[in-house]
Amino acid sequence: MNRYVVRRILMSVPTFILTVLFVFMIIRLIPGDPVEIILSQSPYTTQEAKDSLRAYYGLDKPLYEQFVNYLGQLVTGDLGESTNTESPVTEELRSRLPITMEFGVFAVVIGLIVAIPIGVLSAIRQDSWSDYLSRSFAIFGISVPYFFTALLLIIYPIMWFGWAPPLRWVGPTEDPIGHIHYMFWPALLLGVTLAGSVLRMTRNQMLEVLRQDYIRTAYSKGLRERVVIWRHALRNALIPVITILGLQVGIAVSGTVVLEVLFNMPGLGKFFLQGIFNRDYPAIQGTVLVIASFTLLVNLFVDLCYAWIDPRIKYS
Amino acid sequence: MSSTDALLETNSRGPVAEYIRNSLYLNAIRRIVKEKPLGLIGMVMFAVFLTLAIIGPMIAPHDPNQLGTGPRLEGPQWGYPLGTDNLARDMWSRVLTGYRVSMTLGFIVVVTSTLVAVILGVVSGFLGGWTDTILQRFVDAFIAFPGLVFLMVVQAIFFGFEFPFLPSSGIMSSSGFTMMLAMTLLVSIGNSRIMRGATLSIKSEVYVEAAASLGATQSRIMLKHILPNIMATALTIATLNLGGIILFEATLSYLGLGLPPDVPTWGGMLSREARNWMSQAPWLALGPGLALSLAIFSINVFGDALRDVLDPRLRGR
Amino acid sequence: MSEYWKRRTLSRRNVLRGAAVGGAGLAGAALIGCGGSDDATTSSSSGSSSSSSSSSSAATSAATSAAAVQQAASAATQASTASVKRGGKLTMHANHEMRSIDPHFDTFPAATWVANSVYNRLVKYSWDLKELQSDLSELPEQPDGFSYVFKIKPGTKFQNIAPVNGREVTSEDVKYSIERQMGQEGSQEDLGKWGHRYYFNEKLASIETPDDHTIVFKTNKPYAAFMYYISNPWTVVVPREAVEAAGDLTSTAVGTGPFILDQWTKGVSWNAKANPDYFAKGVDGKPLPYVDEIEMLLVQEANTAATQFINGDFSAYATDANYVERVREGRGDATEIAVPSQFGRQMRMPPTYLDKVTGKIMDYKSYANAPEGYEGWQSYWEAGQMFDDIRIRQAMVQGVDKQQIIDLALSGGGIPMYSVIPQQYDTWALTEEVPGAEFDAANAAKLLQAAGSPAVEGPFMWASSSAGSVADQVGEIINQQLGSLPGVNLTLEPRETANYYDVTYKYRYFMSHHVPLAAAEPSENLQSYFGRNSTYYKIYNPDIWDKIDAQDAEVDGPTRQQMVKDVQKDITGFFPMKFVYTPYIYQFYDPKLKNYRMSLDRYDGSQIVEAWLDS
Repeated sequence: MNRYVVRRILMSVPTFILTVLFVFMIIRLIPGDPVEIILSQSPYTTQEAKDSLRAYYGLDKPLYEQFVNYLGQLVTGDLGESTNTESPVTEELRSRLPITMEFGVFAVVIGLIVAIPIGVLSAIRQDSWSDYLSRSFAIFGISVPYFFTALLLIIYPIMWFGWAPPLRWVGPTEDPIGHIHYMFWPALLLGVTLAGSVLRMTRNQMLEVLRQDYIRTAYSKGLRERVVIWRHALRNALIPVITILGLQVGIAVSGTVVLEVLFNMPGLGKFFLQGIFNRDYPAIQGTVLVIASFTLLVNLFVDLCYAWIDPRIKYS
Repeated sequence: MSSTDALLETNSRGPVAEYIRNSLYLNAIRRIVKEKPLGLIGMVMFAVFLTLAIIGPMIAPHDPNQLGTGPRLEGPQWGYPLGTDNLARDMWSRVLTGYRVSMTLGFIVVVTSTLVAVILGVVSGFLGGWTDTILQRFVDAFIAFPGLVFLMVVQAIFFGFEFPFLPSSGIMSSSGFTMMLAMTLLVSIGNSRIMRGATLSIKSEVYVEAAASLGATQSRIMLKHILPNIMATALTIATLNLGGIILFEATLSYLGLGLPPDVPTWGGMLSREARNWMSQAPWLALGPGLALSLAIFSINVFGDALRDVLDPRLRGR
Repeated sequence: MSEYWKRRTLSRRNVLRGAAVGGAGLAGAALIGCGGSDDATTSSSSGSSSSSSSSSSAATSAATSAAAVQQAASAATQASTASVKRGGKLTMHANHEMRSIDPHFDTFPAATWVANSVYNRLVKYSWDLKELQSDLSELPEQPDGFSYVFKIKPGTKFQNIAPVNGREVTSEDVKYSIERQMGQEGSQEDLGKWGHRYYFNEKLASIETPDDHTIVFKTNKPYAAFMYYISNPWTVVVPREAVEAAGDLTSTAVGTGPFILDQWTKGVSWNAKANPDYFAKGVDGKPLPYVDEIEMLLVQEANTAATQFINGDFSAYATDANYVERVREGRGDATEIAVPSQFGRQMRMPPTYLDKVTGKIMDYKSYANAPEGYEGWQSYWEAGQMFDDIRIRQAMVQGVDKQQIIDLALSGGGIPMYSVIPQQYDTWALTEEVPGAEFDAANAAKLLQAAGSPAVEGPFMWASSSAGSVADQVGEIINQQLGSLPGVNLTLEPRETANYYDVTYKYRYFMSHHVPLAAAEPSENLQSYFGRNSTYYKIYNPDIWDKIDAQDAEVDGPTRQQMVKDVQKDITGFFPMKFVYTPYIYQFYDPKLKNYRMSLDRYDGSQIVEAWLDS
């Protein structure tokens, strides 16, 4: 077991380095660099001006040298300076990551609140109309693009009812209640999407668990249905559900990219998208690094959980 | 565990297995019809949409792209059931043509990506050892990498490349091809992980070990035993991916990275015409939005049912 | 093809607007829907003629008199002095993120709003760009065509915060600032950062400071654009101490201005508090500014911004034709003013290198070498040579129907452009089609035939922004219009912005449609696109180059005006591109907001100082 854990952790190191290399190389393959964007609005830009700015950002050096420099920076915890916002990427990440994390967690919580009760009900009443209805809801949740539901929410209520979701960013320190109110709507949109997968999973897991012997035993002991379901069945069904939630990081990331722009949220997703459009290499690298580490950590955690739950798993 | 699965796993060689496999898919359809009303609805809807993908552009009353085939920005009315957009085009014709575009895109990506995923997964899972370890590190790194960046990069690199054998416009044009290529890579590498898992579990089955001990070559085992038995998993994954791919196209369009405007995609309609004009012309959002959501809905529902009857192991993925 | 036209239903508003624009033939800013109901819709043709010719001084002649905007329009937001109210917080909307707030660095628009709140210029223009106004200095004196003497107003002080602590402004500060803008402070490595170097670099012979309040600029040769650049929103006076304290001004700002920068939350907003010691007086004779605080929120998605304005998040807001109906409906009480934007659209062919004089075709590769690995581009490059035939260029120009584009893509919310300078700057702009450049599909087909019926096949590209812009639709319309000509078959290629710049700034494209940068100063439009040292676009036509240079050195207003118009006719008649349209910008003002008009120069944020909020 311990040996497996150590191996598994060691294995993430090359993966991490590969990811860093990937992102470093791949963004430099896209035509257009930050200098083109920065100078796009200045007339009479000479080649010398462009070259000087490239030199200023260190883009004139050969790729391998840039990469070595970057790795050197990484070791000291420096992610470079964003060419788009002219501030250190670490500083940007420090202010933006908590917002996106909060957004993600809020969405997951909403997703769970919606999905788990419905999923359980749907499993208990398998193949009833309420089952079909709730599953349809779940699947519909993942069938509509985020940007579309968000646009519907932003455009129509103000026209019909004179109401709009709060679209002005409110920081958690200046007004905690306003902040939660602000976060609620985008989190709901993302949460409903996450709920779709969680609901389906909860239902399936519940169905599995309900067929298990110990549940029958619990029933035969004369325990009430509520107790059996919520105390015995759900607890066991939820383990895979929770681990799977971690795998939805990817979905959540693309969701935050779209929703943060629509709701004016100064998070990581917006920073990332701006970074891409402005060819802000340090920003893209920094953001991908964070997302990738997070994904790797989650996967590591999931694998270790599985190993812990099922000791037969060997690393192959 | 279903009866077919049980049969399959105990008798996977010889004519019996062949027979069972051939009837497996028919059988699955039969079971969906009998046992899965929701899946049935999805299946019927999906069949309708497939038909529309084939005949849609033929029955479209107007050219979907031609300017001025209708009034400008008017709501649903006789002759224009879904209204018209700000370039005075018939939305109904555009939505109908969108079926073919989305389904073509979806199917091509699904088929190619599943093929690649199966090859990668089987090779990695079956060969094991260093091949597996190294391949999986790459897969790990790729999965940790945000898909959006990857799609953008591939699109950007290939943009401006004129593939000589492709037409100059439409979904099969160079830009469409580039998008499909990017999506194929993205989807297949993620899926190869699942195919590898399926390979591993079949590899450890008794009959495979028996075949190996009887002296069957590796390629024979792969082709005769492993491949046929992971096909159900592959099919299910493919169906479930189809919706995601169509959705991805819409998101890319929204971000301004979609197909050129002369390819009428639902995502394009939503993020060009609808996004700019839907406040005064809600029908611009209604047509493509509904078409997109219903198509993905039906695919997902059908895929769920297919998964239940074909491959219960995949539950919870 | 023209079926859409017959069936198009014109709302009353559209008819009125069309009449106003078409009737006057001028870039009239029509006041549309004051009070929101249809009955309140007023419009009259704008008949005001250019005003810059009234004076012969270079200062006024360079005053790029703007679009003729009706008195009614300004009356809507101007209020009598008696009703001046003080206090309150004024919120505005920005749709661009700022890279930095250093006014002398990049040219990104949102940053001038900070610059113009925190700093001052020597002189500035009124919101309609017609009147030169004093700012830090009185209006300049001109002893000759080369010299400009500015006298700083006595008692102008920097803000009372560190590191300047309210010290007086001296002519040395001005000299320092101009030199800084010219990049003289920067090192060779970051020369590219100084986006405004070209204003004065190599143009000034000397900057002298005979005393603490007098500064004398001498130009090398007559420099007609001098007054424009010295009054430019970016040409602000910064204190040396502040630069030295922070290294640069990318994230700090201390100046003489009416507002003191309070906080800048990147990607969200910035705000500034009133400067209690500000030197300028308002209409009521008391110190400006009237409001206690200004704030600007960054909102990138246009749908979100529209909802926020309806919801009351902003006091002033500007948007495109697409969102207008909705804002009108949601905010019937808001004052609406439509102004042609300064950002037009061009349909371009690759830069032509035909030497009109010798008839020789320039060597393509000597201009811009295709980079290695771009063989694909090399082939377009070769294909682009067909546009050396002026008949093919003219055919492309005649094949595009700009009115159809305006009607379909913008619901009529735009006006045609006839040459380089957008109609908004009516002193300089052409107001009617240059002969030969008008829409005439039949003649275009003939021209193509005369040119040997070439296959005009290749990619047609543009920058496709993530904001769901109309660019995609314009591309599609032009494609269909040109596609009806014999032998024309374009492949649509929307490109992500950085990718587009990467290609087009190396002139490596077949055809494209493009939003050029435009300024109130004609040289800025002419030189950077068609001049001898142009970088945005190139034409090889020494005749045109000479004419552009000549107007550059002409300081007499009316003469220069004629020269600018003449050279524009030459450019349009050379058919390097089709000048298509400029869209209207629809400005909305909350009724509480008084005495404020957004400047016709989108970069100028200084008007806000005179605004107040009615309670």
